[in-house]
Amino acid sequence: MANIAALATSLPPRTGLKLQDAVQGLCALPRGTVTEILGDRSTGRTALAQTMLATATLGGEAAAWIDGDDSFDPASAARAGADLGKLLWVQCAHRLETALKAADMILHSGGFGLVVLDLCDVAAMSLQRVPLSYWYRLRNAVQHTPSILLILARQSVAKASSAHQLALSQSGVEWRGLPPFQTMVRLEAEAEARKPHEVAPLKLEALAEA
Amino acid sequence: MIACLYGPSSGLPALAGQFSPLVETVSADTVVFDVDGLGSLFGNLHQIASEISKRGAEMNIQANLAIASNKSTAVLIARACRGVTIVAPGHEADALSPIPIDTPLISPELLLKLHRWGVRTLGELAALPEIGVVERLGEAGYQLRRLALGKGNDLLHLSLPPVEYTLRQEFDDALELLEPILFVVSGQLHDLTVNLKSNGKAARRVIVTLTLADDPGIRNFVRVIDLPVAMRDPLALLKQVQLSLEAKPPDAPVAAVQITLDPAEPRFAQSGLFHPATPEPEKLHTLLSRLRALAGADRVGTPELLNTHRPDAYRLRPCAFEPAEPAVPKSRPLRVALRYFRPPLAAQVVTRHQTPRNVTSDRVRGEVIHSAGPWRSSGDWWADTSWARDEWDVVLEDRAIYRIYLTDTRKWFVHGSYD
Repeated sequence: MANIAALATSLPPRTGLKLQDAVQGLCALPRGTVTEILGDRSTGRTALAQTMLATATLGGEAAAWIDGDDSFDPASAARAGADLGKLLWVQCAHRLETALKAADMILHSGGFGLVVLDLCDVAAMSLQRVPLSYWYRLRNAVQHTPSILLILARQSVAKASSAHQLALSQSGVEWRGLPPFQTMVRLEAEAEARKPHEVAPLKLEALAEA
Repeated sequence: MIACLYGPSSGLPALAGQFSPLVETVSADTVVFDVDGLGSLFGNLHQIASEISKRGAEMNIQANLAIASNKSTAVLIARACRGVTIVAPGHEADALSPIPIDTPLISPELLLKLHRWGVRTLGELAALPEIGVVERLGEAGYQLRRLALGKGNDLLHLSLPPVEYTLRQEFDDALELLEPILFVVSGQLHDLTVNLKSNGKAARRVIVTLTLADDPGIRNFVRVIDLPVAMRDPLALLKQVQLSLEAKPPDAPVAAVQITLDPAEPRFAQSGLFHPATPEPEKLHTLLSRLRALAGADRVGTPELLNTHRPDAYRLRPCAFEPAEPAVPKSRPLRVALRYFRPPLAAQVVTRHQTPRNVTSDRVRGEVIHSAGPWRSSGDWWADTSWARDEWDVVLEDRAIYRIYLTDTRKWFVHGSYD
């Protein structure tokens, strides 16, 4: 079972090739596609996305984080290694429509290597009301560009417009110290590639701050 | 051919300006100008010199006049020879030969050396062997010898009057809608940017002046748009004007529109062949303006962490992406991230033995199956922004991990979740 950290730290080259064998068949994130990272709270979605953010920004690329629920923590991103100077952060004040429009503007403007649309804490009912044509428009906007559109959500929202779906589920939390003064050491999760479908889940392990 | 006027009069630039637009004021008493092309008007060089002298006399200007094939020769001869001197091409060295080397065109250090060598005139300097001069005086000596030979090739440094980039359009009937106004502005920007390009300039600021036709009278509505980088793309400028006017539209019908561009040197940038692409500054500025109009002016930017232990301490600064050398990619472990609830969720927390057992808030609720804490933090006690709180990390029954805290006023909040 491969560590999924390799997925985040190995953004594919600009040619859009598949990721190397290190992730055992899990498709990488080719440029010009929409990828969804799905899961409930505390499953490592944000940790995975912020590591990708770190890889993109340290690679000299500009990145955008469209924050649907104003929940982004720049300190966490900095701990993950992201270069905050290369980041455009859009706070959407809990307005889904603003987030979708901002994503559309940023993708059409061009020049961003990674665009993260964070909808993790947006109500599922609101997301389900978004017409599929919106996601289709976003897919067209990112198509044939060197950008990656990464959508973070609890459940799939882009449906057929996403090229990849990765579903995360928590498998454990490791604590250190004597109760009650314990500190979290690591968060463990399993990642299942739903699109394209892979049977074997991958192990995800995110370290808590020391 | 270059003419030089040397004299104590202040009217030298005006006199030169009557014969050529290409005038350089070298110093208060020296003016040079281009006389090429005057032959068809006045005749040969002697007739040109005669005409310049005649106009000078009409303007009561007492000055020496020299005409030579290059600027430095004309200046040297005008300063050294009284009256009118015309140097035919190819005879510059002969004309310069008797002139003493004590001229402002030669630095005092070089003059001292030349005096020690016994060199007194430009002719003596020109007679020195070129290699020997270069060996002893370097590049400066080489240029000095060429000057003495009348082979200077320095260009005129023209003092052109500043160009104004302003266009004004008045309407027969006052306009109320932005769209027709922007249609007019589009044409104005197109014409102005053509002028900018022809002068090798770009715009750093756009000043939009709308003349409003109010009932009591006429007043101006001015918007100043400062651009982060100099640009001259009319569409990009038009988008800036549009966003600015949409953010704060005029409150009365518009009778006239005036656009003024502040010229600046254009941006020169060459990114590396292997540098990742970053947003173009012009497009980025437009994008940021649109995002600010969409999400709010204070909700778009690049985060910057503040030097404090206060939780969630950051500020947003304007975006500016510069192409950078990419770092070598390396494997990095995933780090647990915190997702904040902004503002923190007020919660009711049931405790037992000072340990949280149940959390209830608008968006988070459930039995606590594991907790760690309290971790006490405080700071800024010397300021109004002081804080003090006890934090717990709690795992609820849905296995989600949250950070909750109790303030010094005994109020509970859910601050965020780990993800």
